[in-house]
Amino acid sequence: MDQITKARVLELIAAYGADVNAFPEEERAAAAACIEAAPGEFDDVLAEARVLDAAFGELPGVSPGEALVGRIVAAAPAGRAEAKRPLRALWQVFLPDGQRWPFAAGLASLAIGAVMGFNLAANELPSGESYDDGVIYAALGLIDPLGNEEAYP
Amino acid sequence: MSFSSDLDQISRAAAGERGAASALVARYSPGILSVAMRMLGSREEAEDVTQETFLRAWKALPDWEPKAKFSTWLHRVALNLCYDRLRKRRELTMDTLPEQVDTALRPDQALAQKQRVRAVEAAIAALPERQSAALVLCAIEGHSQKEAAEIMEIGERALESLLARARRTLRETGLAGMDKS
Repeated sequence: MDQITKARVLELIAAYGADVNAFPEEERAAAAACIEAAPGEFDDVLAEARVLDAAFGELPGVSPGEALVGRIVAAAPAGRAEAKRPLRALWQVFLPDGQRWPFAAGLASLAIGAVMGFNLAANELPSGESYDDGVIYAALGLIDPLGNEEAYP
Repeated sequence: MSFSSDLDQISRAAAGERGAASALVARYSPGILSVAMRMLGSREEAEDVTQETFLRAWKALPDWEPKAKFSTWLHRVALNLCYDRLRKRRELTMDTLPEQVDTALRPDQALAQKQRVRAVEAAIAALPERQSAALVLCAIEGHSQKEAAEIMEIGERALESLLARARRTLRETGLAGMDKS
């Protein structure tokens, strides 16, 4: 154990009070041993220090009220969460309140429309001939552009 | 609370996560409020200082570099805000009030616990600002010598000297002779 002088122990009591546990850690054990080895020698200063320690110990704890905490938290940075909002707003259009069915229904309607449109277009022209071919034949007078086949041999 | 946990919550709070910000406030606002209240002797002013301390923290979060513990940094900001207020208060009252604030209750008259507490609070708030800060951090808030010295940006020997002078001043004002009846 490190040696400590009585003068140093008095300094420690004057600064940190009567509780040895409040002394700097590296001097705690030596100071406690010094006090124990000199019964009565530190009694007066320790008693005086204890009165102040007790007075500090009586001070009530302080806790912030909800209003103060609310104000502080409300002022906290919005950061990236704030930056995500425009994207979130767009997403809200497709997935209102997180519901997937409106988006799925819209997608299904689009798919059905595309399939039906493709089928109707395919039925408009003779098989094997494209719309462009039809336009060329009509321009050459080989077919009736109005579909009156009897007028053309 | 560990340093790494603080860092994690600081980065999440800086990213806008309210839960992380709330956790930091819940962890550190009582200590900050307490230090400010003991030093200023006024709940209202202490709340202002606490709020201002966190507002500065929120501004600093995006560029936060862990040179010091978050709690050390917060306490340092709070102490500086308290010093500012005490200086302004002194400038305003220099001509009208005596140098030492009257504790209203002489310690030997303070019979009830509430009165004793008020006398102690007033006596601490009336100490020179650095003595008051050292005493509040170490003797009341229970910070280690190392932590308190870091917060105050002084050496541990200087802290010890401030503590000893604070206690001597309080003894001289009669607090050490207070009757607990």
